Amino acid sequence: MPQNHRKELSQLIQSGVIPSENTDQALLVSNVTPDNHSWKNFLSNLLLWLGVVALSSSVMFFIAYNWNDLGRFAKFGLVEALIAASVFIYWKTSKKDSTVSHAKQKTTRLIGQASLLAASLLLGVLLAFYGQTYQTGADTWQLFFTWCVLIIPWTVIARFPALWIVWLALLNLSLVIYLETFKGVFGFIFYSEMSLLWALAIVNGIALIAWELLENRFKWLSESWAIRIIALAAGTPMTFLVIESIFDRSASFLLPTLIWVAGMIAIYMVYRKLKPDLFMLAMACLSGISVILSFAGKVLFKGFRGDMGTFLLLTILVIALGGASAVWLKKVHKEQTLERKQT
Amino acid sequence: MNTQLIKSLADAKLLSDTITNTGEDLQLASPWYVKILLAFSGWLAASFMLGFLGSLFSRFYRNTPLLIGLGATLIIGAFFLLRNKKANEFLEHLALAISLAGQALLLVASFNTLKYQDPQTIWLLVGLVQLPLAIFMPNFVHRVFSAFLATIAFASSLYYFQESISGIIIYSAIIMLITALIWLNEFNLPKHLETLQAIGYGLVLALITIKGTNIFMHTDIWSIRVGSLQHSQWFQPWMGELLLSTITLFVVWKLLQKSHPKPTTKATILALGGALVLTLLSMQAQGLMTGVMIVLLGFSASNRVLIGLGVIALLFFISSYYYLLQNTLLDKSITLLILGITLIIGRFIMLKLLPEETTMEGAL
Repeated sequence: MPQNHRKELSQLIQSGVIPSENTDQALLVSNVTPDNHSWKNFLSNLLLWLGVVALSSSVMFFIAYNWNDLGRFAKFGLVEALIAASVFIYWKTSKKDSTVSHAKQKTTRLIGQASLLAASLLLGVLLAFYGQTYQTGADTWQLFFTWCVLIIPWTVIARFPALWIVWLALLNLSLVIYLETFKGVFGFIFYSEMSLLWALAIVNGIALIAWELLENRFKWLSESWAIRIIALAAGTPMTFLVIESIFDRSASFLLPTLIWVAGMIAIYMVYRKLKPDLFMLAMACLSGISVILSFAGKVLFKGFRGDMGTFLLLTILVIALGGASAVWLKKVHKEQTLERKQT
Repeated sequence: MNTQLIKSLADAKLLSDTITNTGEDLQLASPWYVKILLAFSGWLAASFMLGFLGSLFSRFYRNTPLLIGLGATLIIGAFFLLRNKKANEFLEHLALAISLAGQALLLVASFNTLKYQDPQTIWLLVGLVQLPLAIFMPNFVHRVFSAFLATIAFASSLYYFQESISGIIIYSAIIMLITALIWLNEFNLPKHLETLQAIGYGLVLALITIKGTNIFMHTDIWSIRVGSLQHSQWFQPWMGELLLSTITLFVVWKLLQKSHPKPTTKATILALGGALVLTLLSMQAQGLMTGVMIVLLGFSASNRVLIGLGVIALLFFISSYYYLLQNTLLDKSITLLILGITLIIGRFIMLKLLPEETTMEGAL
């Protein structure tokens, strides 16, 4: 998609700066209405991704159907052959050919990435089918963890953020299932209900830090949507951890709060100063509002036993915090827009 | 405002002669995530406000006329607060909270009168309250919320009224048509641009909920009537699918018309033919076309949020399709296989028939 002037153009049209008879032309001039070339690229990508997802899901559904007329070896053969075919397509497309145009190279690279994604998804199907056929007795978390470990090489060579997100999702999933199964075992180390939140916050927190540090070296990692998903995956359990520790007397309050405060300061330093990102600041505000309110709620309910004054105070507090956040975020947004214009 | 953009618009003589303001002092619209923050704190404030009103009027909670009066007053009060152009962020939050609290009071009043045995009327009332709010409440977040809830409420009412899903399929096709018309014409009514965009997002969110999840398909979210999976005599599911196919062709046709330079005849035939094949194939895999259409509408106006919502719709669709009970997994697997192969072949044909220099648009 070319540089996007959608928001600015919306305002110009709305305020009457662009007369309504010129709207269509203005949308074309500002690239808001994509040109034919962009349409073709976009549709080519859309068809490729939809096709790959449909084919991988088709295999997944087929194996899950457990069709008795087809023997297990035929099913293993089918899935393995498809994985081999996907890897073969990647191998064919990964060869560098300097004679072809840049656009063609980009398309070929995309096909390679799509085939590795398909191979990674199909590997999960193969593992699940293996477990089902031979009744290995493995726990569900082991399936996801093994899947996650086995696709590491493909994830590394694909240089493709979406596959890393799939990898991280598998790691998260195996952690959740593992801790759901064994929460009793580690109960003496962590407070059991909070161990899951700790694990998710730590794993995704490390992933976020690693991603941000490596981003300068590997330009292909600079995908804001991926970084934002990881930040949400780290920030959400951290926020719940602090809220839980506020309301739960048996849980330690100090450690989660200290880490949370440190995280908030880090977010401010990084995404306000070093690498401006309003999304991160907005989510940090959301986390801040939730924590401050939980704390105020606990103190007020304890002090006033939940009479109407408590509710009124909390209402005013939410409006004050929400309003102040919005004012600040809009100010930062304006600053960032001005800075972007100057550069 | 971007000076380069203003310059290119002025060079093309597209700016109004009478207006000297080139947008320097125009307000910057907040990004979607700042609006989510506003929605979240508005909702939180509304629930505390309800607690406050609850303890203030605890003795009158059975007094339906009082609840209706108070609820309506709060909503009207919020309307005037939001209409005030000079309103700041704090007043906006306050107004959202007041309106939501007022709506909750109206809901309590309708439960008082109708009890729990009549969900279809309660949902109808919710829809009838939300519809005017979506149109008239002068606030973006409020409009998104009301448009979403009105669409879901009417669907739920229809579902309870018919006790079948056939009506829902036709209903969602009509909602898709309204959504497409809104996004295709968002810039044609400058005075209502923000209203249209807000309602457009609300409708898209509702479509994802209805089509991307199975709430109306195999179980009942409220577990009141489980397994009422029958089709009424009058509305058959294929009617809804046929309607959706027609709407898809209409949207592709409109996108072709909007393109500049005009697409070649070959590209037009390819686009419409491709769209037709895809809609026919996805009749078995309903929900897919809804997701694809949201993505196409998003791309046609460089709307990244809409494209993102379309991708989310497609992911929801794949996972909910797995659990849909109408077909066996084998049938679904074959449908997806044919679909996947067709998509890849379609891509190949498109790239072969329309090389770089050829003008084309919207070929599916």
